[in-house]
Amino acid sequence: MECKDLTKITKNVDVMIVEIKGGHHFQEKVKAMGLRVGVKIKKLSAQVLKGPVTIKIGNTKLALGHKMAQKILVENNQI
Amino acid sequence: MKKVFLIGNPNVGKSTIFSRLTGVHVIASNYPGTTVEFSQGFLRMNGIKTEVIDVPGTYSLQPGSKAEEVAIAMLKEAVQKNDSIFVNVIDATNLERNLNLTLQMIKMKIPMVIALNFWDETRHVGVHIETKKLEQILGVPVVPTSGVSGEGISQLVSHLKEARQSSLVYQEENRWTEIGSIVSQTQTLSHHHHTFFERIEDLSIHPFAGIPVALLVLITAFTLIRFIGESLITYVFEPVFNQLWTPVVMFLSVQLDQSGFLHDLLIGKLVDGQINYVESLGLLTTGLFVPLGMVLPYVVSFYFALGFLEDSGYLPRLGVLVDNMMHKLGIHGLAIIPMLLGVGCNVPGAMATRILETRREKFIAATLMAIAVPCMAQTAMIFGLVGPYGALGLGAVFGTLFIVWITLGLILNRVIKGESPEIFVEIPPYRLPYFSALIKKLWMRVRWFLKEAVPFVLIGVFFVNILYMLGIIAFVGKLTEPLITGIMGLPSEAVGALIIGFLRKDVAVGMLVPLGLSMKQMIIASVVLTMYFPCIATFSVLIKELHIRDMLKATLIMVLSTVIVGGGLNFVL
Repeated sequence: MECKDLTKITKNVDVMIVEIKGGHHFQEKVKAMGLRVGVKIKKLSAQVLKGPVTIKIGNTKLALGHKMAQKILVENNQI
Repeated sequence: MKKVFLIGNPNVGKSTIFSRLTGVHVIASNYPGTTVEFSQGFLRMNGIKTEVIDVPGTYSLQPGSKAEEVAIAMLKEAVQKNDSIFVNVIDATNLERNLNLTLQMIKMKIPMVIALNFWDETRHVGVHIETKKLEQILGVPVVPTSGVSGEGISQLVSHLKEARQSSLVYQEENRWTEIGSIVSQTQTLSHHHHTFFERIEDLSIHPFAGIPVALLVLITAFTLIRFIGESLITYVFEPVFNQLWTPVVMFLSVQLDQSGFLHDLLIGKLVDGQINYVESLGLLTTGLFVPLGMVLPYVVSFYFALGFLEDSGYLPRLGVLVDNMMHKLGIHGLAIIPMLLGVGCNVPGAMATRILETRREKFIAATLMAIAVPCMAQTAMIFGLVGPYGALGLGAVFGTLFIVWITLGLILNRVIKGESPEIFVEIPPYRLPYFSALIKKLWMRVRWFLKEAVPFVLIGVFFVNILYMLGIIAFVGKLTEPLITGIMGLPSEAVGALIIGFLRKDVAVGMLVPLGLSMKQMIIASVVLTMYFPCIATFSVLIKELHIRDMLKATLIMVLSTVIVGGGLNFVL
């Protein structure tokens, strides 16, 4: 199955995180908010012109910058 | 003596619980990062007065921002002293994410109690947590609470003495697996229907629909602020001053023979034999009328509107929408929060720059706010004095400041080395603000204004009189004439306003009235008074936040841009 980064996926579809790129600091930062490999998330919106992406994870909603969103790879998981 | 620390993720309701426990009211809002500094209060535990400390929220024990650093440093210090118990406040609707911090705290082997806050909301979102089971697994007391309604607070207090070290043992590298297992043993989810708020959610962060929504929100807020402020002045404050206070002051004036040192200090100069509350410049006239009759109504209306925005949860969403534009200025979208707080008063605005991660961002945000964001006290005076010239005058003042804000941001972003980090923020759920909480918060802020601002206004008016009497204003006016008159086209007496502006900007704007300025001069003076320097209260907070070197840089930028913009306006208008 094809994996894409968060900026490229469609909205309102459940996806699973398969890889988080970036340095240690970044990884720790997103992990503390619950973003880690194997977790199911959903994209809610993306602002135009490489603006922030909003996602939902459990009952938490998060906004993260475009470059951060590019570091999070997900897979469509309709099992 | 034991201390009680409230620790938890941002926006889980620590400040609300703190207020409930101690009766000390601190500002609580619905966005992460409201609390940037700790607050202290006391509660009675077994009849013993016990200190309670509200700590800024943190997602983990590795700091990401200045506010988180504060939290973690405090936690570590308390652990070393070994004299404290820790209440870990958890957002019950986000158990998994919150347990991350809990498990890190458990590793520190500290006596804990867990408060499962937002317990009332778990029902709406379809979350069921077995607290007994959670208590068993963690080996510490778990108490469901709801800070806003007060549910569970007395149970929390009675469980404080049962605080103990957790019996849970886990391997650090398996932290998330452990969390997953705890969650699956204690929490069940049920389906729930889309609520009204979830529908607005889709609109308010939609890339296109979001913008009209934001405009609608801001225009409504602004209209409301003007309407309430104006109505309070016309129907309450002016009648009170004119009907009740004027006769008292006039009587006193006659007793003092309508002239002399004491008369001028207390009542000021009569205009056509009458008191002019703006121009007289006496302690009992202008000194009371400016803060109470002109500024307070707008302080009330502004903080009412702001409180509503804060508690609804809209602000972080606004931050997401404006993020792109703000990045061009070298700050990310969340910096809209210090800016908005700065519209009320620059002091809390400057403190709120702590939610930004880097020194670069803090510097840009604080400088932009101090230069281009007039506080409500000054804005109210500008409304009162430029307002009569019509919307054009007001538009020119605030339009210029907005252009300055953007332009200066663009320049700073280019000139200052480094890059600013991207936005990374939790978006809280929309919540319907509790009316009683709104009123309480409004009252706290109004009381703060009365306690902090009114004395400064009186000192300001007192100094004006002394400076005039000693001829200092005329002297400095002569000295600075080339700048003030030559470049900015203002009469040299306007320097008096600039001097007093260090103390209070509202008094300073009021001092322009007797000078008989033209509309053009009034606009220039209003802009210059906003930009040239922060008031002393803001200045001292900025020194603390930015440290002396960055503050000197910011000051240089203020003075330079004031001369350029003041001169430019004089040339263009």
